[in-house]
Amino acid sequence: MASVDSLTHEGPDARRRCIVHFGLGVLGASCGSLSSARDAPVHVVVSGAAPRAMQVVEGLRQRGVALVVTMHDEPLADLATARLTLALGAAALRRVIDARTSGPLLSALASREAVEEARRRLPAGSAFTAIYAEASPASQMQLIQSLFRRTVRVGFLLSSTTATLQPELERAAQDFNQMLHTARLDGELTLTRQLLKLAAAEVLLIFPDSSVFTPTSIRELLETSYRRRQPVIGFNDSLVAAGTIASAFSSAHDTVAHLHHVLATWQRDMLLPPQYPKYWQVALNDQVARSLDVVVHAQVRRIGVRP
Amino acid sequence: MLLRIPVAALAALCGIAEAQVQTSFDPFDEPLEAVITPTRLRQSLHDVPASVTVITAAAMRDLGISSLPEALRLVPGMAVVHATGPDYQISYHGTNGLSPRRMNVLIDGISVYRPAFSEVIWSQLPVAIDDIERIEITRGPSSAAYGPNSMLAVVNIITKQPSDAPSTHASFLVDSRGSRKLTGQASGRFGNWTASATAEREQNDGFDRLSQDESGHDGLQVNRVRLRAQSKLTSNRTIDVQALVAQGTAEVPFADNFQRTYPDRRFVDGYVSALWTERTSANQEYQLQLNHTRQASRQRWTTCLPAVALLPEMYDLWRLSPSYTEAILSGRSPSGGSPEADAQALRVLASIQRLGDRALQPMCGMTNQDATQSRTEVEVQSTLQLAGNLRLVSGLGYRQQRGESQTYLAGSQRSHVAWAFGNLEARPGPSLTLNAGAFAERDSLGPAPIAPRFGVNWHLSPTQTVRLAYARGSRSPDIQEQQARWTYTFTNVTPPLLGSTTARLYQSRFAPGGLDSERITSREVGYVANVSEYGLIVDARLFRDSLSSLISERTNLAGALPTNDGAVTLRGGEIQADLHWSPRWAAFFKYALLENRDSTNSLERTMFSRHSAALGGTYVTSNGWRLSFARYAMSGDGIQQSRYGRSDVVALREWVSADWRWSATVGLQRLDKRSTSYSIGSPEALRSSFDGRTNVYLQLSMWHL
Repeated sequence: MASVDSLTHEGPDARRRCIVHFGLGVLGASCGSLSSARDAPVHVVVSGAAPRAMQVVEGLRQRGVALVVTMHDEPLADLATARLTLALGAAALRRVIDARTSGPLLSALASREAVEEARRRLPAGSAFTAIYAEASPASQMQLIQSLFRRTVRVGFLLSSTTATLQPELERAAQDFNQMLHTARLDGELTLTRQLLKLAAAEVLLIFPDSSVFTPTSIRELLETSYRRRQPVIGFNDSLVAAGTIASAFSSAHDTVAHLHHVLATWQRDMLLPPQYPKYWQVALNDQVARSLDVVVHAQVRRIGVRP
Repeated sequence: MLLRIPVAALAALCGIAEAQVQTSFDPFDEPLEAVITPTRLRQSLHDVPASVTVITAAAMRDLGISSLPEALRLVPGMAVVHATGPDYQISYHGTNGLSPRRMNVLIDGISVYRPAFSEVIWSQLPVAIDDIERIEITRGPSSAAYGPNSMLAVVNIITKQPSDAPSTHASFLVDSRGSRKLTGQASGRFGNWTASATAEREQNDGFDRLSQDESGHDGLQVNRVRLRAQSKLTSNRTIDVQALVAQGTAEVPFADNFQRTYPDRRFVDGYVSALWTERTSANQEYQLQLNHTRQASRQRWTTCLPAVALLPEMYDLWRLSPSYTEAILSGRSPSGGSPEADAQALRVLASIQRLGDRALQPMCGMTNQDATQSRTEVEVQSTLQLAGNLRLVSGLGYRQQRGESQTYLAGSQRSHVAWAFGNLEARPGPSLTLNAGAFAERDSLGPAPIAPRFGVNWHLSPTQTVRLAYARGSRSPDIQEQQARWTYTFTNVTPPLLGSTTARLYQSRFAPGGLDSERITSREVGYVANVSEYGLIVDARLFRDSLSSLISERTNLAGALPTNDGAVTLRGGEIQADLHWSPRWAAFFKYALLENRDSTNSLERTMFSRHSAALGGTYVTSNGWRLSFARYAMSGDGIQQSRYGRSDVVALREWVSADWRWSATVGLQRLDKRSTSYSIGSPEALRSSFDGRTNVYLQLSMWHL
């Protein structure tokens, strides 16, 4: 098993990865430049072929972070001795946990639900933290407040997965002068019927929830809410392109900046708890907004926290 | 030491893990295809080339609106006259109140405009209020999009889809005027289909007093059934089928002193529709719609007329010269007619002489105004996003329509129509939206002009738009106007007349045909503002409509034959404002100022209000009460038309428990005046009155999701 901490200790597999990464035109990072444990590279495990994960890898390299990257179709290295393992994406996180690594683990680009599920499977005392993929309830409520410019009733379907979000949602609604209207998910009913419980809401807010959202149910949600003239906020830019009206989201650049900060201040014994992205911006579907007669003022596009 | 084991092998050892890794949906990892594609996007209020009023189910619930005609009082400029219990005269901007026929009404794309008689019978519409998702009223000529008969406006009733209906719903309404309505609804999933069924029974006693009938015989009893089913055959293909029925009895008061039994109207109206939607790409969608409607009414009564009115010779004389006939019946000597009329008059006088005293003896028999109207149509529509800011909606259609009535048509008459339409929406820049469209029709009953519409919407800012629009519209003469063979035949005549128990009323009306379409040319300047801070949407318009080639004459046997000689100019302004500035407060204000000028026939001023308005608001308390107030008013400046005013107060309370919801609504309506007067083109106005000005109602509802 090869671990990459200096050129003299490279095995053939590690050398191949190094050449591939250099071939990507990475600046700054060098497979042989690390000279001490403190500067030891971060092991990055990537799920699928998600472009955002690769953009994050690129971005970290450009910031001089030494990385060893394992793609989804490559065997995992021994992570126990790694300074830090960074799992990009929910599938990567599951894969790392399945590998029973005891080394420090940092997750990014995975939803809070995926992170919490992973955390339950980690051994007690594991060094773990995460940056959730989705923006925080406060960010989304700030977006709602900026978009609608008045108090509106924000509808949210609570499942057993998202029930823990309720206090944060209520706090965020209060902070941004919105009215939260929640309804409990009933497993017996179709999503269209569930949404009838939120018929009085002027806008719907959604967060990742695998008990509710599949590609089919997302389609159902978008068709139903549009038919009922209810704008939907959340939860990432991909969903906005599919048909929600807007979402706060963290771009690859935002994630890189946050990760860089975390890595720079990383200390095994003083880990911050899992957290929402520090940096975020707004994705808008102008066509859907126009069709629903929701006016998008210029300042809505500027809200967020930039690196 | 960990072994390097390929993932697949590891998964095989672990069993489930591989499946979990492969099949869990990660919304951050997997791109989603666009669902709300350009072809599905509705036009914004800032982009439509007309003023649109939208009345939602929530608004109707809050304001205690329990009938479609009453909902239309929320439309600026809509003239609503409640003539008798079942009879509402409704027309945008009024004009001819005798038979309002210049507005199209659609239910999910199915026109309920009756093809043979150009009418919409509002009390017989086959849709329950509880089934309505929203009503969209496009104010102004919409013939470019919806064809002739959408001359003044289009009322588009959009009902709830089966998936939007609760699994069970029941509602009961009762009021102090004797109205009762019971509604039940069920929906469910059956394989790939979602279906809903609604049944409703409505009964009301109408007015307490009518000028033509002191007992106020104008009640209504109607049963409505609606079945609807939808299936998503693939992610891009859906089918939607509906069947609607309205059946019942509308009480009709005596029209004259000769009627001995009430000419109540028994009706069965049925509608079936199928809509196939196919999305071939994100930029193109096709729809194929098939509709068939059949509206059958049976209206029979016993009348006793003097024998002279049933003489065959009198019938023939009327065909030659109505004035001769009237002269003889008045005891005068007719003159000034043709030699044929003179000869026939002599035969009439001879017959009367042979009858002697029996000429004035009442002969009683049964007659009818039975009629069946049907239409079958097919339409194909394409929505194509040509480029990012260029969208084309176009289509072709064909319709066969038929009227059957011995009384009105001497049998049956048919016509057929073919049409093509296109509407192009372009946004050449962020400040401009252009709309151009036209509708062309070929009607076997007569020529129909092409109806164009052009609109320029200039977006002053994201929140404000100024609109300039020009449109032409038309109303095609109906089967009865073009092909009437209107006679009343009496059967079971007692005592027999000249040995026969069958006789015909002397009056008749045969349409000369050759009528042209009624036309309208409309010019408007509109303004839309959307102020997010207050949830305020304002829509205002100034308009000038020139109506010409109007068929204004009164459609009765003794009236003048129809011509295209009518004309009128309508000018004015309208404003509507809807305010939702917090989840607890909402308000609305609608006002219309109308000038009806240059009418060539006074009947075009029988339905006209210079000022009409509606305003109201809703407040939601912290413990779930919804309190609403509304005020409706029309100045009633038409000939023989009274002004109208009403104030409503409504309190609604809902209780929610898991999947159940219950509500109780209590409402109070207070009329300014107990009576309503309106014209039917006769010297005396007709009047309908309630004994009291106040109506109190209670509605109880339950839903199970």
